Order: sequence, then C-alpha cells, then structure tokens
Amino acid sequence: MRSKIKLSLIANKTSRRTTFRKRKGGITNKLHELTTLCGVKACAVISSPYENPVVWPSTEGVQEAVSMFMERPATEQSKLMMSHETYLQDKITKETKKLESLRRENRESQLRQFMFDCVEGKMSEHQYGARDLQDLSLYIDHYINQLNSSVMLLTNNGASSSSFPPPLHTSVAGAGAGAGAAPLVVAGAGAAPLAVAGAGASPLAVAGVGAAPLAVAGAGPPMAQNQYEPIQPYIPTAFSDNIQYQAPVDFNHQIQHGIYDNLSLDPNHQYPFQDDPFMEMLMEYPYEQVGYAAEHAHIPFMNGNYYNYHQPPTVGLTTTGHMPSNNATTTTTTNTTVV
Amino acid sequence: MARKNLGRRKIELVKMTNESNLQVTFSKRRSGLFKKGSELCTLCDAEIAIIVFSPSGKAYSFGHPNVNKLLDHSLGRVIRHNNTNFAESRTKLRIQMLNESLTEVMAEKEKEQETKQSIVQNERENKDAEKWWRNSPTELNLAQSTSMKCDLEALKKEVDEKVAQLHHRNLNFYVGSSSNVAAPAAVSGGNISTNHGFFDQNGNSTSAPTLPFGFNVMNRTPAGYNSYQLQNQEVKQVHPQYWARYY
Repeated sequence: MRSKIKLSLIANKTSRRTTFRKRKGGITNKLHELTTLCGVKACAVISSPYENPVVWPSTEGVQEAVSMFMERPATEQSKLMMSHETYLQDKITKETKKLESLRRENRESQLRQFMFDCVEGKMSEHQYGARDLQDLSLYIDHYINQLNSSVMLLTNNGASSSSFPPPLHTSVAGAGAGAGAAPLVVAGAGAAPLAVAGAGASPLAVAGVGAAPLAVAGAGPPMAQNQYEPIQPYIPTAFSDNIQYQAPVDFNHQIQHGIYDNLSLDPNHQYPFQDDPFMEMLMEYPYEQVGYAAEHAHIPFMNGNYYNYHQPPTVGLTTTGHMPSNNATTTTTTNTTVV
Repeated sequence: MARKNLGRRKIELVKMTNESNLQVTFSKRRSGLFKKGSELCTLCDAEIAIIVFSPSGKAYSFGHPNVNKLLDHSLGRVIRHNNTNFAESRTKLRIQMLNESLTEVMAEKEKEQETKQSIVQNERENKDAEKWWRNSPTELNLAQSTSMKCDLEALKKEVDEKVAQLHHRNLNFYVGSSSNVAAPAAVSGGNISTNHGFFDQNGNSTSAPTLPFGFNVMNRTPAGYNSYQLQNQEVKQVHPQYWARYY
C-alpha cells in the first residue's frame, strides 16, 4: 500500500522533478474536468525552477482569461484571491473546528457508555476522576430531560390512541426481559409482577395498576447494585499514596532544622502547654502554629518538624498495614515513658 | 447504464444541466483544485497561479507566491527565482510552519476518528435485546422510560455525593483536619485512583504540600508526650537521645 506522503519539500531533486511532472498533469486534468462539467472558464500558470512555465489551456487562453480577470474591480479581485499562506490558514482553521466537534462527540458517547455501565453496576471497572464524575452528572441531567419528553409523549399518545392493549403486551415482554437480566436473587421476585400483569391484561382499570409493579421490578436490581460500589476502597488508596509521597521530604527537613529550632524556640513551646494542657488545645494548636509559621517565613516548618520526630515509625507502621493506628500510638507512648 | 446501488458512480464529462448540482460541483472541484495546487507548491517548490470563473461570473484565484506577480512574469516571459530575498524567505518559513501545524491537526483528527470507531464497535457489542435501557430514549415505552428515569436519578444522587466527597476530602487533607486520622485503619488495595482521569482527561491532583501533612501527624501525638515535655526543662539532654533512638 502506498504510504502517505509528508507535506513538506521533497529533498531528493530527482524525485521532486518526477513528482512535479506527475502532479502538474493531475492539475491540468482537474482543470479540464472542471471547465467541461460546469461550462466555466479557467486558466493556470505553473512554473518551476526545472522547466519552462506551463500555461493552460494556451497562451491565448491565458491572456483572454487574464484580461477578464483584470476587468474586475481591484476589491473583488483581492477579496476572492487566495495565496498559499491564506489557504493553509483557512484549512487549519477548518480542520481544527472539525477536530473539536469530533472530540465533543466522542466524549458524549463515552459518557453515555459510562452511564449505562454504572446503571448495570459496573462502575468499578472504570478509572475516573472528579472531572469525569461532574461531566457524568451533567449528562445524566440531559438524559433525564430526554426521558421526561419521551414520557410525556407516550402519555399523550396513550390517552389519544385507540390501540392501547397491544403496547401493554409489548411493555410486559420488555419489562420481563429487563427483570430477567437481573441477578438470580431477584429473578424469583420478577415472576410475581409478570403474573400480576398477565392477570391484569383484560380489564383496563386493572391494567393501570399492573404498570406499577413492572416499574418497581425494573428499578430494584440496578439501585441495589449501585449502593455497594467503590466507596470502601476509595478513600484509603489516595491517603496511602499521599503518605508514601510526603514522608521523605519531612525527613530531610527534620535533619536540617531540628537542632536549631529545638535550641532557640523552647520558651515559645512551653507557653501553650502550660496554659491549656487538655485535648482541646490539640485541636486549636494547628491554627496558632500556622499563624506563627507565617510570621516567621524564614524558618519554614520549624514547629511542625519538632513534633514530627515520631513521624517515620508511625508512617511506616501505617503503610505496611501490620498494625492499626491505635497500636502505633500505644507503642509511641511506651517508648516515651522508657526514655 | 442503470445502477441499483446509490453509491459513488462515474459521471459523463459533459456540461451539467441541473443548476444546483452544477453549483455544488463547481464549489467542490474548485476546492480540490486549489488543494492540489497547494500541495504542488509545498512538495516541489513550484510557483502557481490559477484563476477560475464561477458560473455566476465571479473570479476565484489561487496563487503562490502571488497571482499578479506570477502572471506578469509569465506573460512578460521574465522569470526570476531569487530565493535570497528576505521577504520570500520569511514567507517560506511561515508556510512551512503552517504545513507542520496542519499535519499535526490532521494526525489528531485521525486519532479521534479511530477512537470513534472503537466506541461504535463497543456500542454494537453491547447492543442486546435484553438490555432495553441501552436503547435510545425514543425507543422506550412508558414503563421503561419511567423505570430508567428513577434509576438515573438515583445514580445522579450517588455521583453528586462522590464529587462532594472528593472535594471535601481534598480540603480536609490540605487543612490538616483530624478526620484523616481514621483513614489508615481502612487501608486496602483498590482499583480506584483519583490521580488520572477517565477518557484521557486529567483528574484532580491530590498531591499536598509538606506543611499540612505535618499537622496531620501531630494530631495523633498522645497527651502523655506533651506532659513529658512539660516536666523536662533541660532540652539539650532530650535531643541527643531522640537522635540516637530515631535516626
């Protein structure tokens, strides 16, 4: 198969000359077709460093066409005149618009597939972020609007149509198939609505009542499945990643600032402890520390680093998962007492 | 000859009689002609001037470097190829950059086309008679539409809760709230990641600066440790032991 040619100057002079000759013939052929099919006049001048300039259709034809061209007002000439540069710019703009339109279509299709997978309980099979969830939420709104329009249309048609019983049978079959696709646990429950719907087929009043169980049967299974989707594995993964990512940086900072901070800032450390030694102080202290750190920007993380002496073992224990958080705290207390 | 299929077919090379078809054909073929001219200029460094008069009498022209200049040269039999001209060199460079940009756009467009093909393939595979909820909204009946609407409303509520959860958790981590302490107890493997998005989109970055993490750890400091600090007034004695024990 012929490979796609790159859109740039051909380096090989011989190939360039050959390509020029071939394509020149192609252009003259296209000119001939255009003038014949549409019954219009045209002319062309093709020049290159290798050959004498070629005129089409002939010298007299070119002169005649040029005369017609020059008779036009200058503004009209320039308005419809196109140079290689402007042609390429217009083409890039056009192709870019097509590209954006295509991307939008693709994303909408992907969101629709994602939505259907979520309805079927396959949400955990996809990798998604907050942006994707927001887009999915907007698309669900859009789809619900479409369904509302469809429901209103069906309701109006149902009220005015005289062939109401046949759609009911179709509805029974469709709903039954939908319920059948659910897990086996729900299959038993799916049989009851079918029986009820079958019994209600003859009287119109009972048929109205029969529609409700069908809707409930169809709605049950997907909702149940969605309730147990990835809430549990969702939070710890990100937290674990963050712990692993941040620990080394703190370690380096502690080595650099620990001694200096400890020696020179002892009076400030004693003050909050003496005034309020209870647990509530721990909840309030981070904000004071933030303010203090902000005022002394030239020594970053000095207070935090002092209390982070316990950080490495705690992080290690948490990451390995061999010991829960409570045990880690107990171990730290024991070590402190021994010292 | 008469043909059954309505696909592409050869046309006779005679003047068209249908007026609207003639106009459309002229427009399409003129574009194609100019495209071929552009390619010839790019590939072979040729100079071209094309003038086409439309059925309504307008004069369309394409020229490189310029229609008037090339026509004057040609008619006057004077040909000058002065490539050292500064303006021409700059124009050539710009045209080269435009060609590269056009090539990139075309490549991305082809990639998106392939994505579209794979999406259509997936949809065709998932098309199943039993999966009525994958049909177009206009194909569903009243019961199916109502059921689908309930499912989607429940799904939307769940999705909104997830988005709020993501936002809230990021804020908690940045501020250093103690609610993060409970997270390690539930550490387990999961295939959900918030660091890269679905559909080749960038998800929210959850990498946090060092300071909030330090606060997070401090929240787990036991009270006894603080009491010990209060009792020990000689700081110099404590630090060397800490060093030996932990580093």
